[in-house]
Amino acid sequence: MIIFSRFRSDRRPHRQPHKALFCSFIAVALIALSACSGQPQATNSRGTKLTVTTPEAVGDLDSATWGMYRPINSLDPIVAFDYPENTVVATLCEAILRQQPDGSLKPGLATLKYQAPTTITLDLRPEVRFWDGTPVTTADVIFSLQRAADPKAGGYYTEVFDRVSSITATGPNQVTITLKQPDYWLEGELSSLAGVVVEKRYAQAHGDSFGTPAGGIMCTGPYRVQTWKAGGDITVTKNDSYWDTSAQAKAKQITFTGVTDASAMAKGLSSGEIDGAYVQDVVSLPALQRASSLNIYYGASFDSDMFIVTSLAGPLGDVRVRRALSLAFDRKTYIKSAVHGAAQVPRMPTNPGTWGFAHGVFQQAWDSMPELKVDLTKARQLVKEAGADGKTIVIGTSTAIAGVALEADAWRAAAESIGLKVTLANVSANNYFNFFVDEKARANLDALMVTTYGSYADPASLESTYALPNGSQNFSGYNNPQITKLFGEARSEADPEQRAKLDVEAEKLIMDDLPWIPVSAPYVVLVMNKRVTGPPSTFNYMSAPVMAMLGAAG
Amino acid sequence: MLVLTLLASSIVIYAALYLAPGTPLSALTGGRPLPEETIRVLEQKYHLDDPVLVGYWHWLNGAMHGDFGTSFVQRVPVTDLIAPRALTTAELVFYAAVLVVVFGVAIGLLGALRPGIVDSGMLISTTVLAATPSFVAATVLISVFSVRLGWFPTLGAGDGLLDQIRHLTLPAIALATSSLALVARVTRASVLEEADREHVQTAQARGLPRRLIVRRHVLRNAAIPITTVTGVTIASLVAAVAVVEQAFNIDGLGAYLVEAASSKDFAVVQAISLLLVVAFVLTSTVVDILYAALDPRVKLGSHTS
Repeated sequence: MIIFSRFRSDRRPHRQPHKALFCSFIAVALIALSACSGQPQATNSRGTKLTVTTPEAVGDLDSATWGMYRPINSLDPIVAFDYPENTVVATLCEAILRQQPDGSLKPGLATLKYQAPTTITLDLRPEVRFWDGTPVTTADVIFSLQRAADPKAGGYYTEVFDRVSSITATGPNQVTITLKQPDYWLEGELSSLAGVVVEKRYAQAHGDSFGTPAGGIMCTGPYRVQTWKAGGDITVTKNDSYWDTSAQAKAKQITFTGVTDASAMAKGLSSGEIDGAYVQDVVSLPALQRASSLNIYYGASFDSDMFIVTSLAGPLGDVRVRRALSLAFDRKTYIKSAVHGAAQVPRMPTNPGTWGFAHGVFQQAWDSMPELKVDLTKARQLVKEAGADGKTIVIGTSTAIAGVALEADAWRAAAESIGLKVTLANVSANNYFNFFVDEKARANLDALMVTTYGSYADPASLESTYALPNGSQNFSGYNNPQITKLFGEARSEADPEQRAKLDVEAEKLIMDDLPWIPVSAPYVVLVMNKRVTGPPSTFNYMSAPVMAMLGAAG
Repeated sequence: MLVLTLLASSIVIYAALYLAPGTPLSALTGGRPLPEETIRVLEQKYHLDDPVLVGYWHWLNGAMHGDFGTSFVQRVPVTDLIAPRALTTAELVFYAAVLVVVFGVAIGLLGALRPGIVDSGMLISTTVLAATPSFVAATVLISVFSVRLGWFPTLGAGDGLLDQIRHLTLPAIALATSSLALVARVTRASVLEEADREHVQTAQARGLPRRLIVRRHVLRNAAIPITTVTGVTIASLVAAVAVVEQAFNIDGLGAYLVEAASSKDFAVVQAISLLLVVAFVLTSTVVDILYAALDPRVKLGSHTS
């Protein structure tokens, strides 16, 4: 079924080689500075130049075409969960807080303040208008947040509000969020799609059709929807009355086009039919690098490529077997051959691109950890000690998702090299995603692979989903009370440095216990035709209207 | 007949989608794990928890009233999704069909009437082309004519007549390649066979002009097998269009069918599949009608043919 595999080769939700970032202390320092100045460059250990920003656009554009790996399914922020939806929704809509290219947070539609550990105030910017000219009110903010939190609305971000007890207006321009317990993770969430503000009256008037091609949306961003062919291209046009006069859009209109086939995307970029794209499927990276018409930038990502232990009932229930597997996997070769070098070997569970605060603390911890290296002798020894010699592990895979199939083969080779047996459970692409949704579907598996990310720049944003007992991606029932305690403290910790230290402590335990085994820390790959420039080369495009910066190159 | 075919197809398609493992929900959420309560809300909203017969009846009832349902992925009526894409696909298939008929027959004829180097060349090249899958043809065409030479665009279907022709040329060639080669070979074979017949030799002996013999005695008789194979291959273009649309990133019915099937978007799969069945049946009917026109011995409705 070649059609099928070509078609679906990169349809992955949160799965996929990506690129992200930094490595040396210098890189981090530069990145911290970079949000406002030039294009800092740093070189990591593998020689890949990493950037945060791209050269500022010098002129306007009449139109531009931006590529994504598939067309969007919805514009409703509460059901936007993947690269394409995030890219487009972030271009149109804005959140309470604004993520910066380096992952730090700044005021967005409101200024957030912790008045007390359990009381957050949001002071709205009075000048903000929706596309229809209506000012953003406290009612809109309350409606949007409650809608995101309400399971009955069917949104994907309900759990991030689990410490919220009430959201009320406490002034003409002030909303107060009262918490059951202190929650310093909430501000990060409010900078992502969970914190996007839509117009209450518009959303209510459109009911079920809100966010569809028929109903559309009403937001505040630098672009508004012009045309949207259901299941196809969406064209957005400049919002001439955008409230932020210092960040007006440079391109009059942008067409977002879904190009599912990675080589078709590469050809479109090389021929100039597509002006730019954040490329998730890097199979065509060598071809892109050869094209003289293109600039390629690598930057910090929130993505982590992971080997997920889905069951602790089998051989992987023994931590020695998990450690042995980690020692047997040749990450350097994998990164070189499977993702063409667009990733780095991890030392911590989560990508360095997620250090949105207290960089020094995270960097120091990273430097103190060894790079994950192959040690087959030790790995075989561990397998023997665990009595797992000749035991079988079942890895879910899908030959319809090229990246996953490739990685599954690499894991099989690794496991077999240390005396384990491997059965690959091969299913269709859709059924591979189903493993993540349906407990029964993955009942016979020991492991899966995924590239996944958190919503904001804090390693805990992703780690908490699989290392905490109630985490949404904790499929194996993994429970380490020490980690739970540390993340519990981190979530309630006001001081960023202190929070980072708690994160790091928990991360070291995770590296020791390996509930998920880190595979690689991908980079963001931003590819642009030389006629355009502007957006940052980091994960920022997933949450902020960075497409407003896209303009003509000098 | 058409109605029965459609009814049978719709049952088979529904059953196949229903029996295939996995839930549409995982396509909707892209594998994002959700709390139980949210899952229940979504299942209710999109009728994903209906029993199979209830679901099918629900759909059939709507379809008989002209309502082909709503895509649960896009949350818009299926007709809104299909109408703009059907036009694109029809244009592409038509373009490819014209190429198949015109060039297929011409090349076959050339091979049959010009023995020697022309014929051998034609035989070798059509053997290769007939075995070339359309996705291979697509890749080669794109890298040579779009990327290297820059003559044609690589993506999309274009706007306006000229732009559309420019955009659809390479896809139509990719789609037509193997069918065209097949038609050429069949044309060559049947022309050669007819040319050997006694009445042709008689005509030659009588000194009739070669052009007249070819047109009246050879082609006329060879037309039936040529029409048969042309009809079948053109109908097969309808099925193969998904691959080509995918390779050229053309937002048409075929590509969308694959997308919808992989996300178990039932209403969309059902509607597009049935539309393709209709196209297939119609093509075959046209071929049947052509038989009657080509050969007076074949009468419509009779079973002698």
